[in-house]
Amino acid sequence: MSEALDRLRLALREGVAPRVGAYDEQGVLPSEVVRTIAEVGGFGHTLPVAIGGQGLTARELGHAHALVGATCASLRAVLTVHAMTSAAIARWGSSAQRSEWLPSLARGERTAAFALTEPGAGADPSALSTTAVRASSGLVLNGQKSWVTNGQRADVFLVFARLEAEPIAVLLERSAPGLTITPIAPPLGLRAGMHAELRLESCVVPESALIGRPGAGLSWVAQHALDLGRLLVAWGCVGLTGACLRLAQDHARARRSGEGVLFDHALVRQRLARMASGLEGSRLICEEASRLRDEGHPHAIGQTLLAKYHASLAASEASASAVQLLGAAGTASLADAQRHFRDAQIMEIIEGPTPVLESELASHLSIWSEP
Amino acid sequence: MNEASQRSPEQILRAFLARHVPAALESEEDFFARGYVSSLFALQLVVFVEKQFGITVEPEDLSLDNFRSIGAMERFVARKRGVAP
Repeated sequence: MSEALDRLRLALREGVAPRVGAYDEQGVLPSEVVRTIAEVGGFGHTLPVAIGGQGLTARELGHAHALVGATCASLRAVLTVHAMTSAAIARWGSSAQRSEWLPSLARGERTAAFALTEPGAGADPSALSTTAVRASSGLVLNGQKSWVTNGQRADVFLVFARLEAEPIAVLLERSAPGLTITPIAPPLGLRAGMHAELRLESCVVPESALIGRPGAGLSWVAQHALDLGRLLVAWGCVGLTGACLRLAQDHARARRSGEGVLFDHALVRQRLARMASGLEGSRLICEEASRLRDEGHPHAIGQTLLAKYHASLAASEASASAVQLLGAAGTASLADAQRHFRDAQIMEIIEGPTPVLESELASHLSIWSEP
Repeated sequence: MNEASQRSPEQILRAFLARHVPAALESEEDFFARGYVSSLFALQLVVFVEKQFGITVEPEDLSLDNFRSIGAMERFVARKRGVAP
């Protein structure tokens, strides 16, 4: 474990951190960054060693995503969607699909994306309206997908549609006829996430591209991927929150104010204490979610919801505090604090917006309420 | 002896469902159709039966017909274990 993390830490420090502000400003994650992370195994963290992956436990995987999240949330988002689709293939794909895709996905030679959201179906995937129809050539897909992170670069998309009424998941290759990929202009946060919109116009995939059987697309394939996605977003938030605390603390100790430094002020100390409390709460909930997941415990799913909920709120609060404490310097172009602040806003929306998570969490209360 | 060998699959399933479904269930009562459970519950059931009964749910097993009621899950678990329910 420590070796994979050490390699990742070094790659992030030398190959990503020096230009992370430019990636954000320009809204582009250069292909060299993808190669740098692929070389240290970052695209195969979730996949088994036997097929060229790193075989990390959920705990190790979490720590890796916290490292990435502390440096570049856009890269973290790309790795997360790649991991989600890889995991769906590994768990529910056929043996032919696994041998076709997993070795190159593990090495990062090809990358994946997750195409669930539609213009009319965001937080509620059951509103899905992309259609699939059986024809002699295979399945014919029609519809539109939005906010597909890594969509500008991905070689393969896990696309969700309805075959008659039944939700399905299919692997769609970038080269498929009828697929048009349009880059989305860099949004508020995760600007270098290479987001794209997909238009599927009589786009044909063979029946063998189905992941799982018809009917399983949302309840099992999408939810399995989203469950992993929530864990990785949560751990990414732990990294981001830790980065904000370090920025704020360093600034408060160094910045002269009256006779002393900012750190001497009770209100500044209160903010820093709240950031530390939010960070440690998030970290412990994430650790427990990872532990339950490694055990195959059914409570892992509910604990992961709590992890994403808590960690994204803590990241939002801590990043806002960091901007305020750093003052003008925190708001400057290319400053880390303002980037973390914008990224944290998106963390509260992706893989389940806060109000949706609250509603879902209320279905899992027995995990925490039972004596 | 582990828990699974002391209690019948039906008892184990009932105990798990009692924590998540706000009503007593008939053996063949479809708790998805009743709207008793959230959209994540189907996935949770897969994790639960794999851990509890030491079986592996395969892609071809992903049908609500295997998970929609206590009776359906009992039959599914028995089939995966290769024993009569």
